[in-house]
Amino acid sequence: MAGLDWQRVESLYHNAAALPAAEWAPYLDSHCGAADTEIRHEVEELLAARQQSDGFLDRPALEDGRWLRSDAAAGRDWGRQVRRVGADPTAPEQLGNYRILRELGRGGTGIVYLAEDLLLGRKVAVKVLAPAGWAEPLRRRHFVEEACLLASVRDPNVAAVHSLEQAGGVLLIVMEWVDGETLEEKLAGAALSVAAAVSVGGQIAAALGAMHAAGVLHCDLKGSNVRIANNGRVKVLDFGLARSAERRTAVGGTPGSMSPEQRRGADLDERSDLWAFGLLLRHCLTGTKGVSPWPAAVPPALVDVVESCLAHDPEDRPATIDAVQTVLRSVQKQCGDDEPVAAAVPLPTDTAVSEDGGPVLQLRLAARAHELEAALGIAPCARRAAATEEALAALWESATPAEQQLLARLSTFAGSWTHASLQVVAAAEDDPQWEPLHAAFVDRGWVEVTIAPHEFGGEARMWLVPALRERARAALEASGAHTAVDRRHLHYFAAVVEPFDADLHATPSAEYEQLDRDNEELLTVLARPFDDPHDVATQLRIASGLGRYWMLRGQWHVAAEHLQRLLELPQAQEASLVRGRALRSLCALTMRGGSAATALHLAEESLRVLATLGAETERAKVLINLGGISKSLGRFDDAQQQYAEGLALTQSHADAAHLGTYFHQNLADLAVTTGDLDAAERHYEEQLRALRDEELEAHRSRVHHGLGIVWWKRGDHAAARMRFEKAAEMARRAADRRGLAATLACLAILAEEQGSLDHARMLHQQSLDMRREIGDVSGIASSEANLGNIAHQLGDFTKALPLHLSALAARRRNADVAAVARSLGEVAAVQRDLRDFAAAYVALRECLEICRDAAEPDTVLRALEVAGTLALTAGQRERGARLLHAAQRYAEDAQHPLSPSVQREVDRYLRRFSIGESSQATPEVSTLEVAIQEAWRVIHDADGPDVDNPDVDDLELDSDRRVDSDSDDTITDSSETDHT
Amino acid sequence: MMASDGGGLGFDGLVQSAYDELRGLAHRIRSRQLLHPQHDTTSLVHETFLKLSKSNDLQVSDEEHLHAIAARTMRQLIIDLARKHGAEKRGGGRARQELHDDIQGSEAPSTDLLDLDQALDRLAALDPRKSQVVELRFFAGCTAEQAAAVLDVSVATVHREWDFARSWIYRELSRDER
Repeated sequence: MAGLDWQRVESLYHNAAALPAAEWAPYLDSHCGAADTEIRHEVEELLAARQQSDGFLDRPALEDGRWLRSDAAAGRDWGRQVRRVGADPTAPEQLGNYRILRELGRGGTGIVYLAEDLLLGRKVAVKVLAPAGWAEPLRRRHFVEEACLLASVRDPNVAAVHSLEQAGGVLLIVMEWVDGETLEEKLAGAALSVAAAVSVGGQIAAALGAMHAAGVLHCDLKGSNVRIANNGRVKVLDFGLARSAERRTAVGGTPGSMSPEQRRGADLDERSDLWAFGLLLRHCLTGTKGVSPWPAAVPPALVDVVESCLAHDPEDRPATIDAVQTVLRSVQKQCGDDEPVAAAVPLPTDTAVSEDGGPVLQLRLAARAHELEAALGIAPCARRAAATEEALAALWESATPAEQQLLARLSTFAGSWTHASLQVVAAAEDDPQWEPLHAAFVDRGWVEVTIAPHEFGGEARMWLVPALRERARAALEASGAHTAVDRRHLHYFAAVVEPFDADLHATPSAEYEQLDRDNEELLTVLARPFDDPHDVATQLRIASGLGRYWMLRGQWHVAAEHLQRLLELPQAQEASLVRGRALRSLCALTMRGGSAATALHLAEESLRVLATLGAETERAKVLINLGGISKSLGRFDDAQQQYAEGLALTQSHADAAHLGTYFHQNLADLAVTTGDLDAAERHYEEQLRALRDEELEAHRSRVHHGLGIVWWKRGDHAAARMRFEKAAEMARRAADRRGLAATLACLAILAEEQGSLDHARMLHQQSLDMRREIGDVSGIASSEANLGNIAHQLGDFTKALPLHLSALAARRRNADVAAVARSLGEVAAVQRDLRDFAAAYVALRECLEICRDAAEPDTVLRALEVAGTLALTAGQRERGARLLHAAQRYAEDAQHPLSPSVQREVDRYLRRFSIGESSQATPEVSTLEVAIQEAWRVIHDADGPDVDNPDVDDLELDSDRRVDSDSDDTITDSSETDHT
Repeated sequence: MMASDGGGLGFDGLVQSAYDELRGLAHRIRSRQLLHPQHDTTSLVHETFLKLSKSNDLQVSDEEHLHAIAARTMRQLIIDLARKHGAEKRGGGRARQELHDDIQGSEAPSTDLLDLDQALDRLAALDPRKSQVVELRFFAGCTAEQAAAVLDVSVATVHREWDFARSWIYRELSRDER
């Protein structure tokens, strides 16, 4: 190096760097002679480094946490990053929406890059087919198969596939990025402890179990294909050789980790993976890849299971990975029992007396880390959280009840207990009493810990939540089922569950099962006896929070029952903020899954309670709900007035100012409903102007969605689609899957109206997938119903039926009466077309029952149409004609056109039975009530004389609430603020 | 307000005039909260001055020169800090319990910053100005414009030097890894 012509190197470097990477080589070819090999090599290395040093040194040392972090993973980030210099300097800079950051590795089938997803702003691993395979159809097909295989396995220990894409002619598999190191890196030079090896082995075994259950063989399990995330979670990846278990033919592999049968090129099955697993676990335990004596610490049972995996003949190995897991679990348990259990550990806090006499909390974590770790049996990341929790426990005794409440909430944020996190808590609480309380906390020096912001909600939380959950659960179990509940434990539990609800909008979560269980458990805890009035308040508050969770999950009945019970207790009757909020919560749940009349009553009572307390912000929130109820009852003037009153409140009360946007949104939605499209557009545009740059893109997305509906109603489908597409793009950027699913559904229905059923089906399917990811049960039902409608229109009745039945079942569980009626109408229509008339009558009967008081115009018209066509089919020609004409006429009167698919069916039947436009022979039914009675008679005549002649109450027919044929897909009202 | 030493501002005066500059740095650090909890910003800046004023043999000709010295001092401080971390992890603290930590990876001292320091020394031997650019930008947090003023070169030159130096150091570190 020293002898090189430094200036020449520099000048070549700068000149080449100004060119695109692809032109470097030609440039250097023409500017370096044969004697310049060394110089050229130097320049090439520097250019490669330049290509890969993205972000390197960009931030000053003290600001870039990677250089000076005090924990273990710190500082290694850059070390890991620079390791790859010298790899392909012609790596692409961007592929589709993915900005390539660096190469992670390459193998026979492809190259894996670390990339940034520019739409969702997260890091992903992108695998591309190696250039050599681009033109080969077979390799492309295998690549696609690999993606499908990977995607079929869903397990926390298997790196997830996000998508399969094509960009610039290149196929990409976009996968979950696992930050951490590979098992191979970890094993460099040293064995793991038995406990660690068993933990890692257990997770790999779980991954294999999931793969094998999905019918996938890995075929290339080795240390470099196992990554250990910074939080200790193990992920198995790289399925470049994976095979469907049905196609067991030989594959390549990595020499040294191939099973004997794989080396022979024989057919493979699960036991081949077991062999590789055994080899890997032996490496973990002995520290070497080859055969070496077992360390004395390894329990004989573990030695046995590893050796049995390594049996030459597959027949001698365990039959399944499950058998191995059982052994690992028992060893793990044994390990746990053998480890010395630390006795009670002193609190990790130093409590001194500050100048004003209050306790000072200072966490001395660094010094006590190992003690805590041993005592709590949790990984280092959790110790901070646990320490904070212990500290909270110490403070608990001396705190006032209000402070205790704050302390309990703080425990969720223990991982980063900073002033900033306090503000987050405050914002989430949205309670005027909290602010002075925070100030008091800060004054008393109870908040002192500062931890880097990136840990907020990340790793720390991941460890904290299970730890808290376990502690709370243990404490609750210990307290016995019939004793009064300890408030603090309730808070812990609630604190574990509640913060997640906000994430449910965006995050596909594999944790629903656990969260659902927690929630249900919490609800049973809430059902315990208690007499302290303060406890009632606590429980009401928690139940309100749970209401929001279940609302987001689209299963509102669950929380509603408990809220109702709690609200009826004598201890809960006193007018309080908690009662006011709980009433609103129940109101919001009832609005969706019950009767509007009951919701109205609840909203009014909530307003009464809150008015006596002067809680104006809370009142404004109730007014959002109240307006929604009035709207659903068709009382548009009332709704207008209620929204206006609320808007005035937001203008006169600074605390409520942030709610203003919801009122604008609802006023706009209301104007859409009443048909005043210009007013609606004005409101939306106003809202759009009022939204500041920093406000959530999700918000803007909603406004564009609303504008899309305005244009749709105006009949300008192109403008509508443009708006929806914009809304979708924004929702995508904001990672708002809920909003995106809704907008996609609207786009689908738009496509459906224009006759592109296949396109519509695809969009609905995307929407359905998204809703499944976020676990939105009522959204899933909507999508299924929409897909059912399309299948029905395509004449695929056997496919339509299960979709509608599934939607129906979910809606029944939700007691969502209007939606149940909608599904029943569709089920009746499908059954009719399947010629199962008995089943069609059963569905129609129930549908008509609901039509008496709680159905929507679309549903009523659908019911009339089905009744009419059934009558025609049953030979009641006159009645059938009357009903079909009635359906058409009332649709016209109410200026509510029959949905295109229903209209087509009406026309079809009228043609088939040769019924003219106005058949004089059939006197028209005079009112809608008469029409419904007439429809009842269809069933009556088919069924025999046991059908009651129903009372038909007045129906709200002038309310035109939906744009889409079947769904809750217009984003309306106040879902954001329905609960606290 | 400040002691005059001969005709110029004198060392104390120069320090005083650079104080705001460094305080800006202090605030930036504080707001990011990325420092080791035990090491607070004020003390870091104070240490900087302590070292500066104790270097009696320094010939401080002008403010720009002082900036350069301050940057060098920051570098030393930060490297000291990294060394201290390394020492604590190597054995300054108590022996670690291996039970749960092994999942987390062995706590080898973070040598990257020390490696970087050495690479920077090697670069200084080849081309002192490039090493200074890195010192100013990476250790003292100067912008390209500030660095250009200190070194009395154009901003474009700073960008070029920075580009090259960054690639060079990156390559050096990757060699260490291999």
